[in-house]
Amino acid sequence: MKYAISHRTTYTYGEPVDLANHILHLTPRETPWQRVLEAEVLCDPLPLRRSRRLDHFGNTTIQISIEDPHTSFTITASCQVEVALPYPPPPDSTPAWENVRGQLLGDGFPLSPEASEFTYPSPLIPLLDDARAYALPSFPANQPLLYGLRDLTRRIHRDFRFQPGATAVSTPVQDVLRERRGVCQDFAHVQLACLRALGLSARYVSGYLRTLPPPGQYRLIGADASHAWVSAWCPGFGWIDLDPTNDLVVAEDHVTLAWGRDYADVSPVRGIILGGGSHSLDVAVQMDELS
Amino acid sequence: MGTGGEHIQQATVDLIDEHTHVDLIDRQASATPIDEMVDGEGQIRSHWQSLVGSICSLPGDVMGERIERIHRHLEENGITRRAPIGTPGVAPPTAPWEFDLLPVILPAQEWEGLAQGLRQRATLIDAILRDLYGPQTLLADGSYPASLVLGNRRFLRAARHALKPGARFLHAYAADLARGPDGQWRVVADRLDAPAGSGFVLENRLVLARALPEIFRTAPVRRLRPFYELWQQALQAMAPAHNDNPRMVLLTPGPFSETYVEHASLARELNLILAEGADLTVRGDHVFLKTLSGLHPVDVLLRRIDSEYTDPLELRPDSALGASGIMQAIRNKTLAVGNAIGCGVLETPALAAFLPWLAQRLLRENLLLPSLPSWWCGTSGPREDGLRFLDNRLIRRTFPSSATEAFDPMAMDEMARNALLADIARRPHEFVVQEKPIPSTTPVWSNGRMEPRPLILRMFVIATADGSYTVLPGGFARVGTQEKFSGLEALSLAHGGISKDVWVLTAAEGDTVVPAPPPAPPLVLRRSAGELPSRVADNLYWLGRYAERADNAARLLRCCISRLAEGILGPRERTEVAILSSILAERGLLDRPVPEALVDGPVLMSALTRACSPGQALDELLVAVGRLLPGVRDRLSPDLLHVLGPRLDHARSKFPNGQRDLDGALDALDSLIIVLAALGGMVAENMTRHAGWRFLDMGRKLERAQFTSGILRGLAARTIPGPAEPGLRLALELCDSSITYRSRYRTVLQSHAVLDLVIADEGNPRSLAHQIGRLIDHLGKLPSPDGQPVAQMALRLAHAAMAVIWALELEFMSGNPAVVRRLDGDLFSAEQHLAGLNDAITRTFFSHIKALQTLGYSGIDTDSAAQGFAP
Repeated sequence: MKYAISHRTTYTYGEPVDLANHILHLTPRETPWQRVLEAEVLCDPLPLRRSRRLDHFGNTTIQISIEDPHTSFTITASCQVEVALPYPPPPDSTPAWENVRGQLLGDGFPLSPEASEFTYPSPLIPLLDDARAYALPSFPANQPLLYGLRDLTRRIHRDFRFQPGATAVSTPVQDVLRERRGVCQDFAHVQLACLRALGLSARYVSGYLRTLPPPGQYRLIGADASHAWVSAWCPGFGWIDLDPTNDLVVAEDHVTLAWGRDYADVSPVRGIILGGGSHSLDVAVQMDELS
Repeated sequence: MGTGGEHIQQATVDLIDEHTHVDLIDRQASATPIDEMVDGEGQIRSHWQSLVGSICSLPGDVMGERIERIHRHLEENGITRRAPIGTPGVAPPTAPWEFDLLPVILPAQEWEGLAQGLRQRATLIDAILRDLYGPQTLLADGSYPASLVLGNRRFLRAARHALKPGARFLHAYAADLARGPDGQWRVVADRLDAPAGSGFVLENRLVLARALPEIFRTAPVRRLRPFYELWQQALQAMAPAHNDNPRMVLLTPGPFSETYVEHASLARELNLILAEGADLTVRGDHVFLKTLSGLHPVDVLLRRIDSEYTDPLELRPDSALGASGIMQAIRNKTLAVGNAIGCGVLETPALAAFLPWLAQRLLRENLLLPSLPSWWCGTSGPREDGLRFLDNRLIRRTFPSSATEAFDPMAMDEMARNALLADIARRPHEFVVQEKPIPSTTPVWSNGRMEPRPLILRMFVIATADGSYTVLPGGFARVGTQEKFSGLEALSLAHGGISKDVWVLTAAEGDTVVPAPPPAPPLVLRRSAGELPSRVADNLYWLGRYAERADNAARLLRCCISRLAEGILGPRERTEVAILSSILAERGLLDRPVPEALVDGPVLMSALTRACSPGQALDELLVAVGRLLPGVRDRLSPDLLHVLGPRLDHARSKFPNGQRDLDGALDALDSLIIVLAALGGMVAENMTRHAGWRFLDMGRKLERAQFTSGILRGLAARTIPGPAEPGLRLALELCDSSITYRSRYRTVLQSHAVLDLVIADEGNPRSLAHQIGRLIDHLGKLPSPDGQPVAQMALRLAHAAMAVIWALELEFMSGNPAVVRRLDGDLFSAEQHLAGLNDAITRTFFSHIKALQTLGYSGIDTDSAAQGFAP
């Protein structure tokens, strides 16, 4: 599947900003299942300095600084991407979840240090007994991993209410777990907290979801904006992407921007500004299928 | 060894009786600490004999007196420790710096062994850091557990691949060592991120050399200075550009930090500019220092804040201690930072368990200097070994929230111990078992004798310009306050206790001579320091203003109180006191003016004593002076600091607390005015005429000009058109010009002569014209921030104020008595110019810190939808 995506973010400030530094995670990742045909990020005003690098997780990171006073800042990221995710393995063929946990522990020396990175507590996802308690019913003894993952995804979708405005970026995941409502970012964080509390490995994925559904299907929640979901590690297969907001295994409707331990690692736009007063933010995403 | 021998030992038996006592009982038990000074037979070890002999030869209670003197010296120089935790913006309480006169002595050979081990350790730790922030082969091949890095919040992902491959991480390293009962030194803790103490070493040495000059001068002790010279060269060599004369900054958290005193002394010793995060700004890819003369690029940063706080953009977004963009400057190689960002990842007690293997793996060498035996619980074998014998072991968290956090399982009750063991079973990789240290003891001087105290030794290593590591021939020793000692205290000792100097003795065959530094190109002579950070200039300016404001308030109060204290008031005094009370009320020093009929009543008396008591306006001004002082400490001479610190505190302590104690109040005001006069004298005579001095003096002059003008207008409004005399006399007294006037005109008081003296006579240091003249002079000589017109504006405003004075002067010269009627209006316009001048100075020279905001992650009250999540 091929998509054209345009993502525009506009900050409007109450007072002039004298100096601004921003870090952007707005360039899609190149992966075995995702080909980036073209990608560009435009800024207005034009930054004095702009640099580009790969971060620790391999995400493309753009760093810019603006030193002229400005009262608004617009970032337009556009790209064309081709996606073809491999089908997930048959759930029966996946190892028992305890076995996966054992491999990740490896008596102190995990076989795959890269995968083990996503089992530890992270800035926004502490180790939570509540999360473990919530997750356990999906993972009875010897449950094949993918069964457990599917069941947990389904339960989060069923038990949590999608309610924009109910949470803020700073709402701790334990509050979301208690209140049982939030947006896609919160759902992803809840699922990560659950899996990590069991000793499993899962990362936070930031990206987009197609705007218009294929004919005859419902429009999915989370289109027209940045989306977020999780990716769980399955030995012998690799990473399996799951979207708790829509209760599905990710196939061809999602485009991956970046991944990390949680939102803090890959927030699309973050920055530090000098001045600015109060500000407002406007975000618009359009993702169209290309024939 | 001039004074060694039997008679010395005989003479010292009494002295060290207490000391040896512990050592002589139960020598057999292997867990008995050994003593640094006394061997197993109760004999003084040979390298201590000279010192012990010298101390015995001191007459009477010289040691007691010297200790007294040291404490006075430390206190007067503001060398204190601050409590580590404080409310932001409020100075935490200080505790006296506890220092013991007796050094710890290390023979040359023993030190050389330690130094060799420490050099190897530094090389090894640096190699590990390079790998962890680079290819991470140690994780891939199972040489080091992934969770100790990837599950460690001190592993800073933003620093991954930030330096070019092969670049050094560990520029300065410190290790805390304890010598066990078997005589072997072991590392108790490795200090890697921003190791502290190397500045305190200098202070301790200075204090000791001053206190015991006769002993120190003859002792064959290795000098410390060459180490710091090498360090300075090493920092210069780090500079990515401007190698001949790089701009180097010591980044400190600020005066409220626990170790600020040491930052100031280290900055002085290494010729670094002491700066806080707010003094730095990143423009483009460069870090700049904000100074009076504009932005200057910074080449090298000696970091004394934790890595996490260095850059709020990429590290902790809530940090106000660093500067946004520093990481990017590091990546772009315009800035070198020591230690590199992220070294804290190895500050875990778990590291010790892996060093022997890593030494083999990375250096192909045996680890020379062992750590305390340690077992990381993340792997089953070592966990079982470690937990098998808990009697002499401590349990520590792999990622401790504080360096002293540890559990002694044998000191816990059974329930607590079981809960801890259950925690370990659940999250084994978060715990480390460590052998309980049993440090050796060393003597401290206590109540006229030596007593043994447990010892932790901190030693310092730096990377030199030639790429190797070198060890400070000295150190920073800490001893416990108690003789009894649990292993837990060994950990906290590194953060408290009594400090000591460490003497490394020179080798018998002459001192190891440090190679002379390579010849540096001759420095361009500089006559001024244009690199005064704007923040420091701001502080000095306000220090001047507050000190002068306090002086003015004290004089005003004294003028009033001295009249009341004389007893019966004549009609003239009654009028004066009433005028003064209304001026005091106008300036907020009294609640309300007192009418002439009531001036000798109890109301005024209690109001005046109240004005001189703690917590009132005058006292608040002195508190404000004290608050500014730490931030400018490194810019003022010790004498000046002494006046503004202890002397001012002493004057403050005299403020009466009782009711209507006019004499007490007068006495306190007298001392205060003398102290502030001493400050004025030192500022005038003893300070180099650098930009900092100009700001301090501008603050004083502007404050005095505003005070003088305000007082004269107040007096004119109340007296001058009417009964002229009291107002004129008060004008002379408040402007400290009575004597000058009398010597010129005898006792005849005439308004134009009085006003000429206090307003227009530039030769009178208390006249208005003098203050404004000095301001014009200062403004003309300050560095001009790159083409800023505001500096011109400040100068114009000062000239405008002076023009008002000159116009008045012409009237005084013509003896025109009608001039008094113009006084109020003219002085008011001069004051307007002065207020404008204050604004212009603030806008031109001081950094106006606009609020920094974080966007995106950690936007506190922005909701998710606004962040771009979901419709």
